[in-house]
Amino acid sequence: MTNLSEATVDVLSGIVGAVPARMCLTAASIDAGKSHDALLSDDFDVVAQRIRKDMGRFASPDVIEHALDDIRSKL
Amino acid sequence: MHRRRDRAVSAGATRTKVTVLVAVAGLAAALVLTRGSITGDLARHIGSYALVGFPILTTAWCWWCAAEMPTASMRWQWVFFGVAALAFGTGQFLEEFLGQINTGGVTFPDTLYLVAIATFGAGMWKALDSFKGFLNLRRPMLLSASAAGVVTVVGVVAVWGLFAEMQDALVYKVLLAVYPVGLLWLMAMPALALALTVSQMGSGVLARPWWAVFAGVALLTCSNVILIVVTAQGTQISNAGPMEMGWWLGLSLISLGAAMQIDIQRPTGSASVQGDPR
Repeated sequence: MTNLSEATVDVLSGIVGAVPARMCLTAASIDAGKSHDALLSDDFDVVAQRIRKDMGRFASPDVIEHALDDIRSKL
Repeated sequence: MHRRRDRAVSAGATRTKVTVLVAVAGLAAALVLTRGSITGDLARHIGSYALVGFPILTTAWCWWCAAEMPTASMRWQWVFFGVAALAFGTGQFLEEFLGQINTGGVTFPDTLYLVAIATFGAGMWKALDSFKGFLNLRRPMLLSASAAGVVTVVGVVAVWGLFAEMQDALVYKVLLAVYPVGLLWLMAMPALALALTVSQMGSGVLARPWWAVFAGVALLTCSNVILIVVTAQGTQISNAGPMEMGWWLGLSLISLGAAMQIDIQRPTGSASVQGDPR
């Protein structure tokens, strides 16, 4: 079990690299109105929405949904 | 369900393996030819068919990849790469089989090569556009444009005297300059911008197809630079030398990029997304 921030960076790093993964998480935490560490499992939908929006132009829905499944499975 | 998934994973692996195999076969053939192990008409024929065959394969892979991509922002770059390879292959076909050999003037194949350069560039701009809003594009573009600017200034200074001495008409001099300038600004510059942009993704699996495309375009650019130099020197051009090897391998790498893109973007198991080599 890891927290949402760690799980998101962990999964996205393998797909888009560590720096963009952290930037995506930062954007998601701003969307949620919280800091990285304060993100909870309940904020998953906000993070998922941000990932879909940011990566939707260069990653297929298959890739994005697999990534979201992986994040969910780590929580 | 699992059997269907396994079959799809296996198909994905086959795509990439077949592309690697074709690239290795092309490289091996090129090495045999350039070492002079095969000479004469056979070498010329192998070279001629390869110069037409590799672009056709690249077009097929790129358009297949385009057809597999789910959104327009992911599709058009591969359509452009396919058009570019087709224009290049058609130019080669006209030169190799219909005898339209480049004599220093501007022929129809030359026009097709310019179209190929422009459409390769358009493909890379479309690829860059797909990363807009996620990766930093401004710095890579500024760096690559600066590099192209410096090379242009150095090039102009280097050939200015040569151009001034030429007795040909101004229009011919302009046409002579179009190819290297087009190569630099339409192909090399966006390729560098794409590499710098994709480098922000580090070891991320989605960067891999673009590294293959960048390596391919870099090889094509090197081969074109060799072509410009040997044309300027008036050297006899063979159809199975290092220049052709660069074209074969460059096109193969772009095909490999297309195959990898299909495999990565259509994961049938999480293995591909996690970067597990298949």
